[in-house]
Amino acid sequence: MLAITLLPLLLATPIGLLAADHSEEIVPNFSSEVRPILSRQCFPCHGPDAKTRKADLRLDLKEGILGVVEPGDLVASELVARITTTDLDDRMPPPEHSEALDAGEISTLSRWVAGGAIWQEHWSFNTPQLPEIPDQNRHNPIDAFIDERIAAAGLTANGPATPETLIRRLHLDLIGLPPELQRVARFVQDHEKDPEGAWHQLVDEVLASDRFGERWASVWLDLARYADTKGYEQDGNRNIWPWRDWVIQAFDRDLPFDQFTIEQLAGDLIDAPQESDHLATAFHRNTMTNDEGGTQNEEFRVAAVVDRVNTTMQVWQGLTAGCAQCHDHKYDPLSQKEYYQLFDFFNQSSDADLNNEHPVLSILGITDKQQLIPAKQKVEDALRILDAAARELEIPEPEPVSQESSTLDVIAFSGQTPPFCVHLVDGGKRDWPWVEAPEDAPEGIDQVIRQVAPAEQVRQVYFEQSLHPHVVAEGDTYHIDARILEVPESMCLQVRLDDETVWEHRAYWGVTTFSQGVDGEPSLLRHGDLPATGEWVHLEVDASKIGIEVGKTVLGIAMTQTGGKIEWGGVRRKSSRPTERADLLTYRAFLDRWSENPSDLFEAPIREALIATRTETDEETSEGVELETWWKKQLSSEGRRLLKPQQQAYDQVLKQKNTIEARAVPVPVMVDLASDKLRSTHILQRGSYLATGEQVWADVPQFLPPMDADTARHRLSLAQWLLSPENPLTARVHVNRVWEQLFGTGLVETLEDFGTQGTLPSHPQLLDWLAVTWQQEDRWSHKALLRRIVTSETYRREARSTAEQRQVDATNRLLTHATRIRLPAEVVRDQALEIGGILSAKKFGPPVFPPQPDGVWQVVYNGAGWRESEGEDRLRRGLYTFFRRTAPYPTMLTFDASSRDVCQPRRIRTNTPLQALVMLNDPVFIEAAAGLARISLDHSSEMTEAITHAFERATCRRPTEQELDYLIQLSRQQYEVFQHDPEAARLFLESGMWNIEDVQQHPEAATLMVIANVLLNLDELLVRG
Amino acid sequence: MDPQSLLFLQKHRDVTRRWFLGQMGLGIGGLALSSMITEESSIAGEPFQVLSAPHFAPRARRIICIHMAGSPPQQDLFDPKPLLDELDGQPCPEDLIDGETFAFIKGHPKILASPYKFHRRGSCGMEISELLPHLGSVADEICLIRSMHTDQFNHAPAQLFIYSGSSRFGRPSMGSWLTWGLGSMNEDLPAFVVFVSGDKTPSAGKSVWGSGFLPSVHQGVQCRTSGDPVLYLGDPPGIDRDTRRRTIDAIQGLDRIAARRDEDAETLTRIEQYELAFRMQTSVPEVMDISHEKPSTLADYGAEPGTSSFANNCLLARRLIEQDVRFVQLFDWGWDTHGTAPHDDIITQLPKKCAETDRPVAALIKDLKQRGLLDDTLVIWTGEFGRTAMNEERNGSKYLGRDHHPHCYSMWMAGGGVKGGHVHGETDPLGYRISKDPVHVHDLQATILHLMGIDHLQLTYPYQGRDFRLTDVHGKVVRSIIS
Repeated sequence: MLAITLLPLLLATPIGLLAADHSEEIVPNFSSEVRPILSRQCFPCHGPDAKTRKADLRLDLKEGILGVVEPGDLVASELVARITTTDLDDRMPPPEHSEALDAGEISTLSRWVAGGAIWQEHWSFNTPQLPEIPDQNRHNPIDAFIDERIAAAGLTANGPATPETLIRRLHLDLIGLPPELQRVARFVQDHEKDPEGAWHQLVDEVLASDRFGERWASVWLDLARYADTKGYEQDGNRNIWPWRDWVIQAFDRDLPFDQFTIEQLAGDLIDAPQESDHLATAFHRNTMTNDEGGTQNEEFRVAAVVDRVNTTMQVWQGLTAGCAQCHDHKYDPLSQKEYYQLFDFFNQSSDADLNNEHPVLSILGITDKQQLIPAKQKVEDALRILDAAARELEIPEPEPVSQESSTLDVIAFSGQTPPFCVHLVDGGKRDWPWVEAPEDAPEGIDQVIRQVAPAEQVRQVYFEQSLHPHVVAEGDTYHIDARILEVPESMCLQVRLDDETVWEHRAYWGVTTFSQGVDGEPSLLRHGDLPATGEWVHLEVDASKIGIEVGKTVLGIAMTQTGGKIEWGGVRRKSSRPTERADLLTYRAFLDRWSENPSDLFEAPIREALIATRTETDEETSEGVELETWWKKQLSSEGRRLLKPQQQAYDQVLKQKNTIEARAVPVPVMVDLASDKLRSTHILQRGSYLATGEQVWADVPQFLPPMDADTARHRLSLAQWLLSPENPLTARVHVNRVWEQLFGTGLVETLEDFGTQGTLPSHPQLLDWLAVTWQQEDRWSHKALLRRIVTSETYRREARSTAEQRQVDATNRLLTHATRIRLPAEVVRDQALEIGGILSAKKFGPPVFPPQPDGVWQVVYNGAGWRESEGEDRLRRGLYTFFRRTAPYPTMLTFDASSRDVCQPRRIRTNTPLQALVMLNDPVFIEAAAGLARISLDHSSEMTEAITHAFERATCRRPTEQELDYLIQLSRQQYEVFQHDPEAARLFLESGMWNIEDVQQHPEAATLMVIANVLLNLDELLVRG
Repeated sequence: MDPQSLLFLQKHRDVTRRWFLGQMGLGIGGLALSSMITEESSIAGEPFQVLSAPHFAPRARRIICIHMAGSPPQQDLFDPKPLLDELDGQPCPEDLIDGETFAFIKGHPKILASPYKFHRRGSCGMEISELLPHLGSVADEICLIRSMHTDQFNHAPAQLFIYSGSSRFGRPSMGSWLTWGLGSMNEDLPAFVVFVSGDKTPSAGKSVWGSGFLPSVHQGVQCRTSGDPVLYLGDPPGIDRDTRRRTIDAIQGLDRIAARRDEDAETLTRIEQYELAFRMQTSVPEVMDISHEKPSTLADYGAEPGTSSFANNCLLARRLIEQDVRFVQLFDWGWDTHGTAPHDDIITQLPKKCAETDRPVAALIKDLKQRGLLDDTLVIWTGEFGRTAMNEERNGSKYLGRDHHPHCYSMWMAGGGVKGGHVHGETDPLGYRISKDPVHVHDLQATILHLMGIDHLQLTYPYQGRDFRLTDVHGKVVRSIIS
């Protein structure tokens, strides 16, 4: 019925159209010509999305499309009838959805039907096969593929660029920095003798450069949406830079891409994972965390998982899975169910949008790790020396303790922190701050504690739980040696008993400021005015006056001050009864006392050794020797005194080691939930975390190769599936990404979309050849892939194009010549600093804060300020700049850097006046100009020579006469200006951080700086030619 | 350069622009658009505009969007609810909290009456709070919508939702869409300018004026009221205008040599961009300098030259609009009145914020009207969501305040084709849910685009295999508020 009514129209319209088309005879290719039309015009209603599908017709499937066409027969093909009819009730696409297909589209579809309607799967969903190389005689097959197309288009390819251009191109592309001038000269020389040999040598050298990883890491950071903050409103800081350093190292040491992938997606799940494998999984912890008050953690946990699915599909498969979060994909055969099957792989990690970013791994930066090795060695060495000295040390028998009451007895401290007690400073557990006693200190005091307290604030040194408590005797007095350096409000002695009164025994001098105790009572008894300032004094306290009764045991002593600065020399006791601690003066006494019932204050090994070492003979055992050595080092006052030099040496290196270890930062990583706590995954209606639908289980989409049925589904098997030889996309997508970096446009222009809506590859066979070769021959080596590409002739072509080339191929997809590429944001900065000779060589470590105008950071509910880094950290490579998601470094954004909110596969390059303002006026670039001027002036004080040198340093080539004339003319005019206005010269020099004391001739130097500013702004500099 | 090459390069630049479109992922779909690119090389860095003409006759050509970040309470400013007075301090009805999620409210909250009186203002008799006396004086100009609603109840996602149509990061903002679609009308100034007051940027950060997947030239340029008005606008110390001219001449001279050598059209574009940059160095400080405004004008706004304030920003907005800047966005922080302390309650903080902003906003409307600019300039005043009818009482706080509330809020527009003295929509007696004519955020976006002459369904950008638009897959133009 339908066919009959349509027939006259069909005959009237399309034949006429076809006749008008010159390409009538050529049968269109399904993948490259027909499917794009179907995808755009028909798939929305007759495609993968089941919800919007009409008439149960799927034109994205072979059965569907072949059901509506009759190969070779236009008249019998309903598809042709529907697109050509003028009856609006029948026309496809329906008038309410869109216009009729245009003549060209109708022609393409009709010719395809007429030519036999050959169906092909979407090109990128087929596993790439190694194609035949068109010309076996070419050294590099890339050239064979490229030149075949050029010849077919009737064009001629350019010859190689000049060696100066080539070396700059290679350096900027591979390491993101310009070559040194001497290297340029050497390469030009070598190139003259043996161009091919010189090039290969240069390529090897550049690939081995230790700046290589930083350049390629910055590409990866865009994909990983790396930032130093968590995002959303609070946008708090996050320590994930050790992962960034992992990426740099991975590129530096050429970690094969398969390994690179597995570690980042599932490093925690491999056999015997190392610390670095766990660290690598931080890739997927670059998702945002919402700390805003009142947010639902589950909502943002789901958002993070969604981001992981989308990013994984984007980075490894070049697919835009995100659409299927809410509904079946409209264009690619990915259903919403399949989306949540992918979601299930990532739904089992234990992170849950918590403010502390749990789970985290405490990890040291690379530099710290490197420093830790010798630091640990030093600790070991110092310990060996200390132990040796302790073993050899003979401690003389102590003098019998005097029975006379005049003996002053060390009970709290004097020169040593009391051993084995809980000794505290300001409530913290660090050791007391001993310093060498000043010369005028009373005899016997060789160490003092110098304590400073801010006004009205309390500071104290004290200990509790003494290992050798003393029992109070009749007439006991306490004696304090101290010197006031700055007047406190009060100073105070506090004594702690083992009864319920605990610390309620205080004697103070000055004005009371304590909240504890009752003034005038033993719990807080004034003992007089503050002693005179500046001289050593001896203060005496009668124990009974502050409520310390005879027979009580003293467990702790505190020296406390409010405000001021005091040197505490020591606290001793004068007693009629000898202190019990005498029993600790010999090792034997120590053993006798503690081997039966070792104190909890001893560490476990010592307790065990004590129990084991009870007899004289036991002492001969190695355990016994160890124990005695330990006793000498830790407990014996005499031993500690004699071993002090070795102990101090040990303490010092130990402190250094601990300081390094304390710099470990908590890095968020991936850790899966325990197997009995796994989440069940459901389809989320419209993508909402509250609207859960059918339960699904992890699996890969059907249009891609299946995962083995008996393989467990987890992140590791997903990673392995991405890397399997059957996976059609992973290698193609990465090879294409690298190609785009080197040629400005990918072989597939839409890096982000290899699906049916993406652009088709310009050189499909080359893409497949590269993808297969890279996997099979190069074993996923990133450097091998780069070497293959940059050693091609295609890469080395001159950039200048001919009129003919432009006419036939305006966008240079055929690559008859090199494309000039505006440098990436990071390279714009790094290059300028390098040319100015001020770029820091420092690698790795926490992010830095280079100069940035005031007021860029004004973050809600986040007090973080931009504290400008000092020293070389001001001048590090761009990728080390602190990246705040809500306020990225402005210069980077101006040059089109990603905002790192989500995975960004491709930066769009723009050309704006704001970029000009940055290059002209940003203090960083002014500083670089000053650097370049300084170097050039050092090179020659003669202006023309200095300008020539600056030009060479900036561009890697000698200026032409005309160019030089321009600059000389400018320098003359400018020199005159600065000569008449030396203040302007001085100001300009200073704005470039140039120390004017170092400059002899201000006008001359400032003039050169203006020249340098001009050079850094040249189009030639901002572009790699 | 010989004239022939120059001609070629200039022609080729159009090709480059088309190629540039292709680069942006427009792909095949973009070809049709690219043919519409106008010859005229535009505006401060806009390489093109995508629409050769609006879809239909625009009612507004420019927009001033004033965002009260943190979200003001509608019950205290625009939507009087006498029932709240009756129920003040009583536990709220169950159905207000059944199945609801709040940002901070815990347990069973109590109704909070507005401490402020409302008065009928203008000949239209619009009820407006006593906190906004000046705004009341222009009631006949404004179109008040009492029935706004959103999907989001946290600041960052809700702000993103209003300005990018999505609560997630990565989409272009409204100003970017508009400048991308319509281009700019001024050669020497950015087309999309942003001002921030209240010492803080909005919660969602720069993404609320970001360009998302659109080329970065379309992102809003934040103009600052201290330091350089645009980052790096000022020449370094020691460099005067003559020297800057000379250096730019030299850069351009050397670039021309390079253009002849490399025959790259982008080099010519760069030469042009340096010229624009030089012009911006003069034009931006000029437009940002309010010291030459009449004292009476300064007094009307409450603006003071040499300081940073919301009032100054309102005056600057008018100056930029006068210069045909397409989209001026004002963000003012400090409206998040939870009631945890005097600095965020409705007794101390809210009147303070109202006092800071009421006079300049009213002055702006009067000033635009007086200059004949209000007819084709759309002024928008909004927060990102509403606030609850209940007292938040976080941790038993004794200060009065309201929690986040997505189900209804009030906003207003003026000029640019909207009805003056008009109230659209109603909420229920407790001001908790909408009872009549709801307007969703996507509807508001569709309406704003409509007023600018754009069919929101047609301004699309293909990215990652899909046509994106500001209104996502939603949005209905609210025709009844259009005059």
